[in-house]
Amino acid sequence: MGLKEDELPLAISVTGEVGNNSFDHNLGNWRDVPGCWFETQATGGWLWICVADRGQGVFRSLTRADPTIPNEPAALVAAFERTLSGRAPENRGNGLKFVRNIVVASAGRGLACRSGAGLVEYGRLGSVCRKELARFPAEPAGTVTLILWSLK
Amino acid sequence: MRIRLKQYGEILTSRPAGREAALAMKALLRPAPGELIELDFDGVLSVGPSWLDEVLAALRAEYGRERVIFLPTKNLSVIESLKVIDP
Repeated sequence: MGLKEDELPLAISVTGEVGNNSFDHNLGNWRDVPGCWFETQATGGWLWICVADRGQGVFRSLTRADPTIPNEPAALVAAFERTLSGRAPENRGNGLKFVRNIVVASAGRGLACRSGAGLVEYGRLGSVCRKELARFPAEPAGTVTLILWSLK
Repeated sequence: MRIRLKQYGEILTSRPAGREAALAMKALLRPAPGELIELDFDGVLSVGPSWLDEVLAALRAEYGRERVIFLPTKNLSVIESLKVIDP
């Protein structure tokens, strides 16, 4: 059992955007280990995708562009819902909006993202992802995104 | 003038890769004055908005917004990427 033919391009694209963010926002600012952890698992009719990094985190990256963002939870919401980039003044910041759009567009998709004390979820399956992420202690920095995609 | 994007890979993602692709396109393109630049996604498996944004920005800056067009595609990653780039 695999992804439907028309969904495969979307799943790849979503994963690519999340993974690219790890690099784009941490280049020259890695805390210790550069790069990101990427893992997928197809089991029980579900595709799980995990992307995690030990970078500076979303809050530290985005407050360069908008110093009024008050905390880590607000930074995560801004990352997924506003056109805002920690790489300002470059004209960018659409990647995670794209990710959110795709995830919420179908009932068989969900995502949760944790960065520091922030934890957001999107899509019908977002709460399942959130529950998984909440099983692990929050890191002071870095970002982990868990995506769930129905294969049914 | 048609650009077959498959020549740049089956999976087109990341801004650095998009920037490189755009530089290569501009080096190779020799369109006649007023000629359209057609982006052909045939054979491409997946496109990310970051990659496409870099390519579009570069081509539009060079040739003008009206001259850069997309050939029809059913690839949902292209369709959804364009929604966030060109809302």
